[in-house]
Amino acid sequence: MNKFRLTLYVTGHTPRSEKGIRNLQRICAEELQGTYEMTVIDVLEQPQLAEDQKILATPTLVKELPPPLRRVIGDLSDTEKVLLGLDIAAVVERNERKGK
Amino acid sequence: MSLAPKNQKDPSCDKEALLSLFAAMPDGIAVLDATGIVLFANDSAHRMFGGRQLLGTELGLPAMARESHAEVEVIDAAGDIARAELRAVTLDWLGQEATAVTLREVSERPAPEKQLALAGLVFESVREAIIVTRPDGVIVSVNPAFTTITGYSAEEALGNTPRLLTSGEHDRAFYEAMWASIAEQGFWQGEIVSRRKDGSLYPELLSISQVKDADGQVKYLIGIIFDLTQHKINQASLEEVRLQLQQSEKLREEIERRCLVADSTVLSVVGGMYGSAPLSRSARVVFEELVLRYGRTLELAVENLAVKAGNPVSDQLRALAEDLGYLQAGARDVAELHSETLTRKSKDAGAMKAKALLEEGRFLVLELMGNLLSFYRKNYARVPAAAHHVREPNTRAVHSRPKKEAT
Repeated sequence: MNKFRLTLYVTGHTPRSEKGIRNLQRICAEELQGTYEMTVIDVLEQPQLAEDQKILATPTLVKELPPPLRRVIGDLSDTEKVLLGLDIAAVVERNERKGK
Repeated sequence: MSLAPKNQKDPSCDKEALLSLFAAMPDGIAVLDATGIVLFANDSAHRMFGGRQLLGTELGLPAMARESHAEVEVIDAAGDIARAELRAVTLDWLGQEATAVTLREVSERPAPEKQLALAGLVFESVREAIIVTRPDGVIVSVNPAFTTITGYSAEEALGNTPRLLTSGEHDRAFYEAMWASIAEQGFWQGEIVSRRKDGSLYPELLSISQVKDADGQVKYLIGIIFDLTQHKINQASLEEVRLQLQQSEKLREEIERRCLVADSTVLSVVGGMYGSAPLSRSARVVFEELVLRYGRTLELAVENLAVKAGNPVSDQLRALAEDLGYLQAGARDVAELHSETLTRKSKDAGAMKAKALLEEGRFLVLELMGNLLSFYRKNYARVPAAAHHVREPNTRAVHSRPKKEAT
């Protein structure tokens, strides 16, 4: 089973950041069921990491694993768009088929 | 009849016209491919990202609800962050599926309606009473703090005038001067005594300002009342500190008295090692320096008390005692040093700080005195004549100053 490694870049502890984090937690719980590692990076605290990853805006969610590397931006309120944007939908479907 | 002149091309077909339109748009516009890579970005987008090269870089596909927008932070090349509103639409871009995003900068300044709400919140929550009157003095608005301070409810105040609060403590001339200042400068501030609903008098700091309309006509007067009752209590406690300072003078006398009944070494310590004149008079400059040093130590001790800073107070007191010993200082000098330092330090300090200085000072002066005693015991033990010296005039030149031991 493929394990997802996801990193969310946010700016500070604002309601916008919190919303992005909550949405990601929800998506992980509902769609990825324990097969994920999730990291939240505050670009105010670790600006170099954001620079290295060429993060242009926050919230940005990066899927590092499995390939391909993909990113989405925004508040992550649309689960389907997050899954499609990260090219996860297909993987989830595959995993579900394997599980059956 | 056609609206467009015949010789002009249809602008919707002209590439340059469209590009100049995109360039002129105040919103940042970018077109992304299916993986979130930037295919096109207008000037505003480049400006918002602070001159980053956007073409070919991965912004990421927008992932927020359809028909909706998300608030994002845009990071420019220098790492500066600005808030922006992100919207997205999907489109066919030169034969491939793409996403167009717009980014609109969001100013941190609240919208006018939010500003009004904020002003209302301030009006409701400040601790100062606010009274708004018409130019004729009739009260049109008061805030909750007005009720807290004066005891009058908003209903009782509205339609009334601030004469409601008149205490009778100020004469006609006082009010005439006040109104003259408001008429001339549009402003008055001062301390006055007012009367609460329950009849009790209270001191307040009152500011009155005029509010004028665009034509310069006075529309309202705004009075802000800062209740000075608590402030006066603080002043009273400052007075208490001053009284305690006077008591420290008594402490000085007590130290002298106690030292007198101790052994003969101490006896000689009392008035200066050789019964010389007090340092404060014989060596004013040295004494001044000692006051500054002791003052610094005192500050450090108070700081230790407040934040457990771990300042080396005892070390400094030992060093100070040693220097006092070399100066042949006595208990009287120590007590003078103590009270002079306290007086100066307390002068500029608030009531709380002054109290802390005084209380911590009591321990400090005893420790300093103890250190000085130890110094004399140690350095004079081998000089019996000095150890048992009884204060006599004209004996100062008989003994040399103690040598610092090289240990």
